[in-house]
Amino acid sequence: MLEIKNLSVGFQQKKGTVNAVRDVSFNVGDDEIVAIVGESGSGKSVSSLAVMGLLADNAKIDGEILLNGENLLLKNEKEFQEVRGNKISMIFQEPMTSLNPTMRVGDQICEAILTHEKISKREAMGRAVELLCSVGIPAPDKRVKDFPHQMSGGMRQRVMIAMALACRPKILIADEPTTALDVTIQAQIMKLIQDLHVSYNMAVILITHDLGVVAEVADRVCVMYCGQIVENALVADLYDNPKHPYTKGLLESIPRIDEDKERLYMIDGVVPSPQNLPEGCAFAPRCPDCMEICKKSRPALVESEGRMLRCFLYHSVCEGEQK
Amino acid sequence: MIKYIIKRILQTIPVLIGVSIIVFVILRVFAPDPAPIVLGDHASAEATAAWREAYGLNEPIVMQYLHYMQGVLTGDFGDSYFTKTSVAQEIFSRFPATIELAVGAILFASIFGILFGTIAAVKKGTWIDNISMLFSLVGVAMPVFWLGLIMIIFFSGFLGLFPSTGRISSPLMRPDDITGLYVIDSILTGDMKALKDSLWHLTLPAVVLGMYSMAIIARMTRSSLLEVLSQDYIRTAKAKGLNSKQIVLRHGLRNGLIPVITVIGLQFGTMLGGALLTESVFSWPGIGAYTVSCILKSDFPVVQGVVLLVATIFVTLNLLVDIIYAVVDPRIKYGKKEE
Amino acid sequence: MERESTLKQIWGSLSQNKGAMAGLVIIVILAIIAVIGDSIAPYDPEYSDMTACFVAPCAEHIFGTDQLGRDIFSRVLSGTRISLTVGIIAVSISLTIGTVVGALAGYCGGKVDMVIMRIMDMMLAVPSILLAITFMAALGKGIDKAVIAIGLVSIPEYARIVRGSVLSMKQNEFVQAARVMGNKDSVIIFKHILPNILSSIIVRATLGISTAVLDTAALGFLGLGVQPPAAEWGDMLGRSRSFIFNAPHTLIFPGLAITLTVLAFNMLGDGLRDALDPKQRK
Repeated sequence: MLEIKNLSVGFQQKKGTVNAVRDVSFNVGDDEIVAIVGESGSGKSVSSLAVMGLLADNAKIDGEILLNGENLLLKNEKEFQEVRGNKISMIFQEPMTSLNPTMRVGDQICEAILTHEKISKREAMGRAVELLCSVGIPAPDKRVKDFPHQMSGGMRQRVMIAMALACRPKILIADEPTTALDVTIQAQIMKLIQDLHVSYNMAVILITHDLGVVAEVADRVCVMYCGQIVENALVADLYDNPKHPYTKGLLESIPRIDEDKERLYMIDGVVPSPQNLPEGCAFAPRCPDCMEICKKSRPALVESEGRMLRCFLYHSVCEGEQK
Repeated sequence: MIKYIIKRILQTIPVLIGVSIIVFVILRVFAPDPAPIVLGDHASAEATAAWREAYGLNEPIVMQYLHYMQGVLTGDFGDSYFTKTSVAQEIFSRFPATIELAVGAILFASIFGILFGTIAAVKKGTWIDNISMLFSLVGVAMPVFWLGLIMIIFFSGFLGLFPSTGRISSPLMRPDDITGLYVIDSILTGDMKALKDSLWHLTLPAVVLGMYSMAIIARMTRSSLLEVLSQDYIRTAKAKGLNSKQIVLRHGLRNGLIPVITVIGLQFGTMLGGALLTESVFSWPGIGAYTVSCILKSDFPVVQGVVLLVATIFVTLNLLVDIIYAVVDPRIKYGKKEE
Repeated sequence: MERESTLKQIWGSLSQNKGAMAGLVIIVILAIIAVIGDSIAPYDPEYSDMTACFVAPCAEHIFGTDQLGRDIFSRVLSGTRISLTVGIIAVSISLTIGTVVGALAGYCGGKVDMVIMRIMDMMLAVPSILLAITFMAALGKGIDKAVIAIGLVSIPEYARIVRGSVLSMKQNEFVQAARVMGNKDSVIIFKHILPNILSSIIVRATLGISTAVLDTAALGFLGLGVQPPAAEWGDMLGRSRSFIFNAPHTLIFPGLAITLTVLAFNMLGDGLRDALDPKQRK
């Protein structure tokens, strides 16, 4: 239903254009939870903001974002507004600052409903109470009159979710929804998103840097590195048998209780800056399996055993097969 | 909240008493003896003594002050040295004119200041923004009396569009006295001719007096709104599908105007000072021009009365601003903050 | 060494700011005029030629002449010195008293603080121009008295800034360390605290000069400032206002001079604020 094809995002700056997202393609099925995983600066947030049309004015976007076959990037601002908050909603990392401090939470939820539906304020308020109830806020009829500062971080994130669900969107984008919260609350919020995914029958794009969270929640995972997808696989496949050296590195650096390792694995080196990418594969300088070709040319994203990979290690395999 | 308000009201009392002491000391202790000015240089010693006795100036200074304050509490601010009428009467016959001018000016300043500031913030970095900000820089730098004179030359002299003096074309046109504000009175009595004429007279002085405040309000609105528009909740509003007009009006200004309210309140207070000059330029029959003339001829009881009155208004305004602030910004909890 | 590099940094950021540089250039020009104005003036600013009153701007009198036939250009030049001097002296008065009083209030705290700040509140409860003319009523007319009145009424602004900064500096570790080491209070205030709040004082003082210039002009306009025949911008406006319709040029130039001076100090002050404490930027 949501197809992203060859999406590239560049930011024009004084020194030149910075390419934050390069040639990203992936699909999100109707009832899927797709996780996008990567370090900060990998382009995962920028991709999702591009889908929402929320990028700053200096962003240059190429490619296609198809929602049920309609290219969102061809829509004008007014048409895009009808999609935002209606067909696609988004929740953000910082629940503390993402709500308007001088507006009652009920009014903020109503605003989302009234923007897209022609119903009375009264009906909208009734819906707001139901929504707060469905995101697990106790005494919702009283809490609608609260101001954000009267709520805890977890509560506010629930309000954000209620607001995002207001118009029963087809897709919910959750950008690091639990990063700013306490660990115990994190699990609750993730559980809530999972439940709502089922009860509201909507697709979820979960953006996170935490592979641990992904394993429990997502159906499929896109791993991003330096603005590109390097591996896109079903969750089970990815965890059982990670193929891209970067994915392997990421998985090995998760602390596990059942393994008694001396010290945590770390990927050597640092993420190159987007202004200064290596000539070959972006991961080549840090890759334990780096080959000569990796330093010279950039690998394409190719299909291999039911998953997508961007690595010369597997290129040769599939190229060989193709031959 | 009510507790906080009462507390703040009680706090203003010592400030006002202090102001009365300071002004009293300046005018009765440090100022030169008013007797020769009031009675003329050749007044006899007996006449001077009698005059001093009549105004209670022979008593010890502390007693003078206590008597004065005793009168103030009953609404008696003493008598003018010159007109011999009560100061309260002198002031209150002229005060509505000043209030009308200041309210007109603050309305002009707030409406256009917020408008220009908002446009500049929304169009940040464009020529519209640059021109608005240049305009506001110059607006702050121009002396109000000079601006007044230039406006008179241009709009009254050159274009002949507006009158340069007074509140109304002829005393016969005055609306019935209800509040003393001609604009309000003529609305209340349904006198459209007087309304039109008094607004016509009010325009130039109000614009002149309001120009400085408009520039300040525009700059404040711009910077405050720019800060608000970069907040996360503006992104949330965008993600809801609101258009940019809704975002600026509902989310931007609602939060961005909170600090502007303080500025407007303070500006209204400074306007009472600016009115001194504007009224002299436009021969506006308010307390400003009158006070200047009283200072020039050492009519100290009137000056004392005016300063006390203005200080009271100023302090009350500050209090009002704080209360409004607490109402519009739900994050402020005064009970806690004060302890 | 370190001080030098900070200064360089401030200058670097200041010189990027077009408004501040424009302000600075204007101020330098005004300062030069203030010093050598009388020698470059084409006429004696106080020389009155009653045969040539209200001459419109022309080649001989580029700004024209006033009601007494005095050359306005020469008078505007001469007024520069008065305005700048008054501005600087008035600011020095309020700056010195305000800093001392504010530092005392902040550093001593308790009753001293309360009494001082209450008095400041009282002064702030009256619009400054009204307070200034009340002072003038006691002091009498004259430019020297105007300077004192203007200086006195701005004391609270400096006192507030300095007190606030001292209060926050007092919590700082290096000040506490200086205290533990047994330094005298006055040493702590002058050696440790004041240098650190210098930047906000400098910004305030720069903006304060423009307020002082405006207030001087206002007092002059009301006839409380310089005594004739001295040339002061506000006084020139006040004395020629009766002739606005016959000879508007007598008003235009002194007013432009005031506006330009105030504008220059405001732009430099804004620029300095941005360069000195980016946190305070609003």
